[in-house]
Amino acid sequence: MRATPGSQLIVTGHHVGEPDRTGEVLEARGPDGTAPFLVRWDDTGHVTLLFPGSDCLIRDTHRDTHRDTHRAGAPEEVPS
Amino acid sequence: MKIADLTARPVVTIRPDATIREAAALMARAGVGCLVVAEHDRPVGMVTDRDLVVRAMATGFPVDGRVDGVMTTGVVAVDRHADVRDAIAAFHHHAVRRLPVVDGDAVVGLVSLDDLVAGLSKVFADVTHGLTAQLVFPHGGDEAPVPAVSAPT
Repeated sequence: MRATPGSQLIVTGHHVGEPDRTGEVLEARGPDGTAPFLVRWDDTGHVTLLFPGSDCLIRDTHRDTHRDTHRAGAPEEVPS
Repeated sequence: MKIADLTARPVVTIRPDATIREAAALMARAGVGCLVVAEHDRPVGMVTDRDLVVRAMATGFPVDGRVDGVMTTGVVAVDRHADVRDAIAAFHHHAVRRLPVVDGDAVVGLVSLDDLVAGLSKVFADVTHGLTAQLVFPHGGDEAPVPAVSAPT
């Protein structure tokens, strides 16, 4: 899972009716834009360091195409 | 106060492909109730003794099943150079009781709410000692008492 500053991070709800939690990636501290990510959460404004799990998605808000949403652990698409 | 001042105990980690039985045995041997699930020192999850009971035993999860099947993913961590206030905020906003302490992307420690309370209690004790000293030995104690001044009528 890779992200760039400004990407949107989405943590999907674990239970029925539980809303997704979203935040903005401020910094990717791993090599080549990988985790851990410094995230500012939209609901609280708090900033935390996150090692995302399989319930996390990254949406690149700079390029709003279907290819820009990656689930953690999922193989990345190869451009055709 | 820095996070590193609170994390005196070494963190206990386990591989994601370890079994539930190995996790329970490791908790017993190390005397801890929480393991950081790590792959090459990089945290990928957390598993507690409660997870083993509620997510494994209560559901009939096999004891030879992988520990990453019952761990909590999406690990909120705190940098070892961060201030204690950052940990307090993370505990508050994420409703967790333990935070892995990382150096870069490698886990180097674990700070719990208990560690936080114990560490802050020592700070409060030091402040209290200072206050007590000022009450017992007030400034200017060797000088004559200040005369009372009545307000002009």
